[in-house]
Amino acid sequence: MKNSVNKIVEESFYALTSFLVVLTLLELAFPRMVLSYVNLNFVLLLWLIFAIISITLRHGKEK
Amino acid sequence: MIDMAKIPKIRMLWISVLIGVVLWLFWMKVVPGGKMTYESDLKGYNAFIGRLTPSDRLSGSNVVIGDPAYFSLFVPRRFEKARLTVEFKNQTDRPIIEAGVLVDKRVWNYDLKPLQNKAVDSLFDSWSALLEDDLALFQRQKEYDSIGDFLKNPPAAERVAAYNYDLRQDFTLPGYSPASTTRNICRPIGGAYQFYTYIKDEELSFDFSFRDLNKNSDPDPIDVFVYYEDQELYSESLDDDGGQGGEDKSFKLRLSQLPEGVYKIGVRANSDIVTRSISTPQSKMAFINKVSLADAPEISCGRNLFTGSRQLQFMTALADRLGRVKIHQVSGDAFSEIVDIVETYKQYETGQVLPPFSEVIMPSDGIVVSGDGLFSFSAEEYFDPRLKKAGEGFDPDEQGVDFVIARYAPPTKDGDWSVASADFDLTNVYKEDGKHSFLISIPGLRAEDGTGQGVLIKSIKVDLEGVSLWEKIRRILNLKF
Repeated sequence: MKNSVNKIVEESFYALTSFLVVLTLLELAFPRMVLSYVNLNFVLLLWLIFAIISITLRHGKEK
Repeated sequence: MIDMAKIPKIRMLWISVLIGVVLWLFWMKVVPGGKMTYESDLKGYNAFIGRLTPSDRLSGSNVVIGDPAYFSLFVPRRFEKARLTVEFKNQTDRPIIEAGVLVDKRVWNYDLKPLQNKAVDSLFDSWSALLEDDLALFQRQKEYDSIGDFLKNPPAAERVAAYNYDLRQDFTLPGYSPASTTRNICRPIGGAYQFYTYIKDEELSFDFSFRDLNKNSDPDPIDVFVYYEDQELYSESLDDDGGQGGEDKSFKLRLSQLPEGVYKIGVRANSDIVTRSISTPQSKMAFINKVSLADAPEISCGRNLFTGSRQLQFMTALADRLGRVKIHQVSGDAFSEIVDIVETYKQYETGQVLPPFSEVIMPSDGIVVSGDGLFSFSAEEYFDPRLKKAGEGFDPDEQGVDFVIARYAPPTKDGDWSVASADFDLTNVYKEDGKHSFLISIPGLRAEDGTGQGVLIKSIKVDLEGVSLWEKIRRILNLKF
């Protein structure tokens, strides 16, 4: 069960990382193309939450 | 328990979602169909229609209490036309509301279109009205059966007023004869201006002497243009020579073999450019709507103005140029008004409707004077070739007007709200960082009056139209093959 949660969190983290990188590059290339529709602050916040959970879970597993 | 074998499928899923989001963002940027609509209630954040500004002319976020208020429109690509629809409630006694888009930033020129004109609206009930396409003709007594008949055979210009329409009339000055000498007008003027002049059997001749003050580091080109019957007849552009300022640059405008009539001459330049003097044999010169009296007392030979404006505004940016403006009627009944300019960067207005022809006695140079009429430096130079305007302070009975022609559709009603639209051509308008600048103008509405009255704006909608992606591809292919 714990392994599954780890995996879901990890996959979500990878997905959000990809979204964040791709959308940021798009915004840099075409200003306001992304920010007109998507608030990247929220994506970044979500990414940060999943990153912290992922690290916490991995740290617990290593102990 | 998650099945490890499903991981690649989950990855495929979010990668597909990511590709879908990217494609959708490109679709919204390119707008392949060429049409897009943006709407805002002006209360919350909107990525396309910016908030109304400046805040000191607003009450809350959407009540305009001072003229004008601005907003920006971000466009993700190039569009050619825009239809602006404003839902509003006019809670003021101001009769006119107009919207405009910034065409030329150098001279802050906005292409203004009407949203509401109560003076014209009232004619729908009391006069005979003819409507054809976007034109409206109002007749006190019905004399024409169609607008076409009216345009083919118009009545005397004194009986006609126009609003948002240029009615071509063959204006002539009876008894005009060309002057035999050239005169030097030593009235320094700042920035851009336009004026009418009149010629008959003579050369159109103006010698301008410009000086670039170079107070700003931006380039300061000067454009001089001549219009005849609303068609550009001549234009010349003088590049910024990159000098340090202080030296005069002269420009000779000479056009011969021109028919008798009214010519409009314009100088398009920013505030760094001062026209130090104008030499001309033409005896008629009437500046249109605005004269910015430059602060150059060493060469100025007077600063008083003559105007047919019914309302005037004054503003100065110079603390040592504050003072008292006196206005009095040139002839007829005694009329006088005093306007005290006591603060810099603040606009002062006349409080009452001015007589048809007034003299404005200025306290000093360095003051910008604007109004709804024309301005001359002497009573002899003054003439007004324009039709009467069915605008602010329009009174057809007092002005002897029997016909009003207008390119105007009154606002429709949606409950308590008025809904008005205006169409703009975006092909040659100014755009910065993908944004167009719009304004909403309510002439005569001043936040300083503190009446609390304003124009409440419920929503702004912009329908944009441009070339579709398929049309663009077709054009490129046609060009190549």
